[in-house]
Amino acid sequence: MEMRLQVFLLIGCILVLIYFINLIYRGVVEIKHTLVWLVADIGIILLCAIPSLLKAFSRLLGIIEPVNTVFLIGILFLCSIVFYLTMSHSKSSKKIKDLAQKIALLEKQLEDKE
Amino acid sequence: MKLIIIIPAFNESKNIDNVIKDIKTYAGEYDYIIVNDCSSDNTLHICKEKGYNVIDLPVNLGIGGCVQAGYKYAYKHKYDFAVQFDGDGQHNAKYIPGLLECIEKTGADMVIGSRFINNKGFQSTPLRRFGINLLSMSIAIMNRVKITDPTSGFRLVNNKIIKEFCEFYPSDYPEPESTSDILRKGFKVAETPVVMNERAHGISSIGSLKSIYYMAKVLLAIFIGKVTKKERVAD
Repeated sequence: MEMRLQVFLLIGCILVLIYFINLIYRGVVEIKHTLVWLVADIGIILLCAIPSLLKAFSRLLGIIEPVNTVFLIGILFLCSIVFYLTMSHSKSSKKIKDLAQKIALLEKQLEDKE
Repeated sequence: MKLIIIIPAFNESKNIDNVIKDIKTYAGEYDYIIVNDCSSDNTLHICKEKGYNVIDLPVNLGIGGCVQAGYKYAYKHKYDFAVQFDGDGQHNAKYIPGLLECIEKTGADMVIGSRFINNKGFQSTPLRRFGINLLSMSIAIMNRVKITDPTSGFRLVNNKIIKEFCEFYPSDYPEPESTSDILRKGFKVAETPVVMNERAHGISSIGSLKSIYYMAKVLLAIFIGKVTKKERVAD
């Protein structure tokens, strides 16, 4: 991988890592939901910081240009994050539906008592 | 015997009066409950003003969540039977006794009011009928039961199905999916002929692009189905 790209990626990922840790520290996001982001970020930092690791990994996967391994891992992580969001969205909408129905039924009960 | 008529209503201010009049004329001895799905017109206002029995959902849930709220109400008040009856005037209350007769005669858990047994009244467009036939065939393949009108929203269920529907009811385009779901769980479904009307006001909830989504979603649901976990029913 180009030295320049390596440095850019490293700086970018470290800044993102600091930002995430800051968000968690201030309680803006739940650790549960940012864990996969942190793992992705740290994974890319490791691969950029240790070129021999990246090269070995690329050879294992049969990727000629090591930088493509970084992109591939990035895309895979994004897919998994989107998939996780789809699942949690489904769960949330079911919960919202149940809550709305419960509120409506309770409201009805109250009105009937009046 | 306690029976309740569940009427899902979304923006039905022009139709709701006639629907209630119809019910009071032909099925006056039964209770009814209108479920207002957060209508943006004055459906709720009309219901409150005329003193109709109405539940008001705080957010728009779509037809599935709306009807399910009605079933939860029926479960909570321990009704023996529930009839699903559209709020847009497509269904005729005079067929409700016919549904009851059929459930008593056949011992089924659910009776669907079908347009396609005697082929009388509003028959939908040819393209839709083609889609309905496809769904009917799919249900027959998966469950070995012939349902002529799986999209009919006019149906009578007993208290076992009321409980099932409280636990699981699909969120959109629920009729074929829920029918196939209870067939898979081993309940018995029968059909009886009814006559339906073309809707008087408003447009169908299923447009042309949506119908592609409709077919894909419902077919997927019929073929893959859903392994329902036992969930706590709201009490």
